[in-house]
Amino acid sequence: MENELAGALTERFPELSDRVRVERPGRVTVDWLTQEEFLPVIRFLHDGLGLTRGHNVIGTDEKEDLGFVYLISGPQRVIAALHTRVPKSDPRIRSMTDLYPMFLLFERELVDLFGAVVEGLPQGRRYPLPDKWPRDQWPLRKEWDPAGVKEAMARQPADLQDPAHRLSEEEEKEPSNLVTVPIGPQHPSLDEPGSFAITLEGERVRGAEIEIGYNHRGLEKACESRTYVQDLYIIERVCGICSLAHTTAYCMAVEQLAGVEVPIRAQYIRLIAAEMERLHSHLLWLGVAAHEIGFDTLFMLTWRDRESVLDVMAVLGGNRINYGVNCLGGVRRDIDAELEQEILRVMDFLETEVQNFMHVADTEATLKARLVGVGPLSREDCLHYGATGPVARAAGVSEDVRVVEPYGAYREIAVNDITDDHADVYGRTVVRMKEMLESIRLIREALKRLPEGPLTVRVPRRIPAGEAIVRVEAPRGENIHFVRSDGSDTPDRVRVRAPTECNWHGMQHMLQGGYLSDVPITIAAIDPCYSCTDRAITLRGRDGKPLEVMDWGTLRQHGIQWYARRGIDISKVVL
Amino acid sequence: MTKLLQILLFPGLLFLLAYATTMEFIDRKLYARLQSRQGPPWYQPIADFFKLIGKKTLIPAEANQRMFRAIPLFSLTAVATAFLYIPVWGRQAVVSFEGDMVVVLYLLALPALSSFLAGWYSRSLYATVGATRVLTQMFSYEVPLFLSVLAPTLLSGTWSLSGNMAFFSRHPLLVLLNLPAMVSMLISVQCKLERTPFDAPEAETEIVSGPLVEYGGRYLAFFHVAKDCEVTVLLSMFAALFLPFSMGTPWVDFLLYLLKTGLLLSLTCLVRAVTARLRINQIVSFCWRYLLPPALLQVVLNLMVRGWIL
Amino acid sequence: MKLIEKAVEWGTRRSPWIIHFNAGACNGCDIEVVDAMTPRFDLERAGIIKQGSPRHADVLVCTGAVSLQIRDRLVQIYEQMPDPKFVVAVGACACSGGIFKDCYCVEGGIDAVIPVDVYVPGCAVRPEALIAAITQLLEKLEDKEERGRLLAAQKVKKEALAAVRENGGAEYGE
Repeated sequence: MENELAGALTERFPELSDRVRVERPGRVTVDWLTQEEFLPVIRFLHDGLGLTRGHNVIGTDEKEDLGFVYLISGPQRVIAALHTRVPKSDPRIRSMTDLYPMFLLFERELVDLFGAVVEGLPQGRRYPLPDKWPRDQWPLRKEWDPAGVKEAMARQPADLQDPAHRLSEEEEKEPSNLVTVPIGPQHPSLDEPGSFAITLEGERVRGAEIEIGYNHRGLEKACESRTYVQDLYIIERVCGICSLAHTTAYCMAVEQLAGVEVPIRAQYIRLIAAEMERLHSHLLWLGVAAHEIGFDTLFMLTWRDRESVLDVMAVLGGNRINYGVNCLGGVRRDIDAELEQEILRVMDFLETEVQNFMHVADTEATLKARLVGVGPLSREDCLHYGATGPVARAAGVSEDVRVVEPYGAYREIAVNDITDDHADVYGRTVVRMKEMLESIRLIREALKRLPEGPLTVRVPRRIPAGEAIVRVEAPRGENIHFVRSDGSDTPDRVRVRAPTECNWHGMQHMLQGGYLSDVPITIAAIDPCYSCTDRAITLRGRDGKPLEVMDWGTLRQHGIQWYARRGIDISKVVL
Repeated sequence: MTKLLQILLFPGLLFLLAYATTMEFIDRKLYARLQSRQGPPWYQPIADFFKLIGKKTLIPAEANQRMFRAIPLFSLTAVATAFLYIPVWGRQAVVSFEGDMVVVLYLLALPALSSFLAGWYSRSLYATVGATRVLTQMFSYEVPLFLSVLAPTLLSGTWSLSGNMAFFSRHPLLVLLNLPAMVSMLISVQCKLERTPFDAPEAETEIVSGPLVEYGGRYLAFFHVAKDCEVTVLLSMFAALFLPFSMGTPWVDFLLYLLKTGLLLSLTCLVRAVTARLRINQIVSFCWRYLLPPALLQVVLNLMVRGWIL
Repeated sequence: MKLIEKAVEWGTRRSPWIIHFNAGACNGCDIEVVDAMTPRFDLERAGIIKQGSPRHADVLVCTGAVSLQIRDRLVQIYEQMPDPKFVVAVGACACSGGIFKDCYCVEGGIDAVIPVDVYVPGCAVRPEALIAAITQLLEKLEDKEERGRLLAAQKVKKEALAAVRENGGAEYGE
């Protein structure tokens, strides 16, 4: 299929015949295009060949130039990687958000981290760097010198205003009965920092503004100054919950560049560990979701059962979180007969428990009342915003990487595609629960077939020059790693695109029109991982009305009128 | 003199405080056990109270200082006064008069109102949202609550809690007639106490802790005590009205009272443990749709019964 | 009067309410902090409850290396908490910056911004370690001398923090 795509491309653009390469199944690479060449090519791929799904835009530093790699795919599931470059002296590129709305976050990142000038990019807050970061400092350019940045930031006054208040200065003021409630960055429903300005009319959400990026640490830059082996430990700490999904993708990318094949036993152990991680992540999610809707008992019970998975991971990797099972060229630890028995025992236990939870989700009236119809994102919207993982599967969009592009041991153990048609938070819950049962089946299957053999294969210290684009299915959806090597022992560029980063785009749409009470559960339903995304952005609705922030007098007046309309006079209350 | 001692010590204020503290402990412990946790040690509510007493109190600059301080006491006083009208030791309350039930009902409306005022005067967004939710919720449960409390009096012909207790002790079978109102009141009580599934006003994951978000230190401690007392008083009132079984001997009745309130507490705790929090709009429609009809039915039923039999 | 003071001191040790703040962690420590509340570890046994509002909390449990974007918020949350208050830095990153120490968007450990009373190393910190840390903090409080030292050290740091803030935050975090 990749050859068909390459053929169609060269047929339409004969001048590209020496630049279109097919090196691996499922990947078509188009080498450096100028901006003038690039625009018709991507438009042809989008309109003509139906490659409408945008995966990522990766910025690279090409010494005198800035490089950009656009990853897009279509119904054939082949990822086309389009390379384009512009000189640093004139870094202007066209925004692709009109073709691919899901590129919004990625293009903002190009602006902040690489200093690209993206023409046609929708207005919004900067991303992912802090508000006070100097505008002329682009940390991912190779020549960037970090000296002086913190001092420059410290010279600016401390900005403790809520995002909602900051917004009011920019927005024209217009009388309305909207109130803006800031949620975050510290808020009991968020275990991680993110900030949401929710505009309310009564209890109804009229607009939502999302500001993430409190967790931006700059670890992609850190990866460039460390060796491949050291990077493994940084990549493991992209996210504490789906750490194995990240290291698997990273290891696969480096192994692909080094041209080594991981031993089959190691691939099976990676599968088992990945499915265990999915189990613990989904149980964790179920608990958090239950907590968001005030169902603490379910929260306690799911987390109690999650402990059994962590116990197994602790035996396998030596740690409950960040277990470090993967290493370059294989896995670090083996599964012996004793552990195998233990895993099987835990699986039996979890199977009954998960079925129990499914029964609760099926029958508990208050739970259903809070989940059904909340945070809708239809099939079309999922495709439009590029949603991935359980969010997309809950709307019937099947994009499970384990199914569409099997990797490792998934090539031998087929995964059943799990979808649902609720397209709301309830659907996402159901999908995750069914996925847990599927994970249990996969683990049992893998243990039954677990082949004998070595655990690792030697990976050279210096990795041959090249580029690898690898995707794996993390608990939250498609996780893409881009690794480029230049022949030395440190990578030239590492780009981690976590699944949550895709799912933020649809958030605004999900929140709009809901209730304030539903905001936490809707946010939780994409299973957001701020540390994975670790960027900041402002998203405004397509029909985003201007906001007004009320002072206390106006708010009180609003309250009095609100009650007066309902026949209650509280204007006599003296403040 | 005895009266004063009764009001201050037993079965008045001191007993209320002690029993309310115990109730909080039982509630938390049971809740924890239902979640397969160990739960807090027995002295936990007391430790929490003293810890809060010792904390520095920060009052937001925008808040109304005097009201901010006064509101918690306001709430506590109202609840403690209401308790005096409820029979605990024997069938007779410490004080009672014909019509004390109306007074009790109005006194019990005060904690919700003070919670609203606390939120309103704190001048914080979460607190304000919480305050409006408190008021909205109040308008939906008060009517079914009043109707289901007053329905039994149509049978007994007295508006005094002690009188009701005495009447239904004489006619224990008539209690069965009050079943619809009993169910309606039980759920209304859950709603009034803002316990899950009706805890939207203080929903931690949505609006932090609602009206009390800015409260800290001793004022928060008083609010907690008032809340515990409210639980005790409401459950005691429920026991007096709908479970008015007594033997006539004061200490036996007292033991029965403990048993009844303990069981009721377990029941509300169980409901709290097995449900998710409803949205405020769902609460309102639930109250009017499912709580009001049985209460109204009860009123009609009791009027008919009274016309035929009594 | 003496009795009430004693009772208050006893209560402070028996009822530490915590508030959790993620200053830029990878999530690993955060889920372990929450995990400490759940059935296997159940911190409520020691009277520890997780609170949502900083006004209600006694102990600030911080995870992660402080990212530049969140630094001001961390100070804000700290200042909203009423005295006496304590800070526990959970995880290698919170103690020193950990693996992210040299990253361009990271300020450093929690103590680069606010005074820290207890450090809990680990990546990720196990709930047992967290429980041990909080117990240790409470033991410190029991000993009168230790308690005095702790509060005095806090006071000095807080004054320094206030002074820095008045100067426009030019030397934020040393």
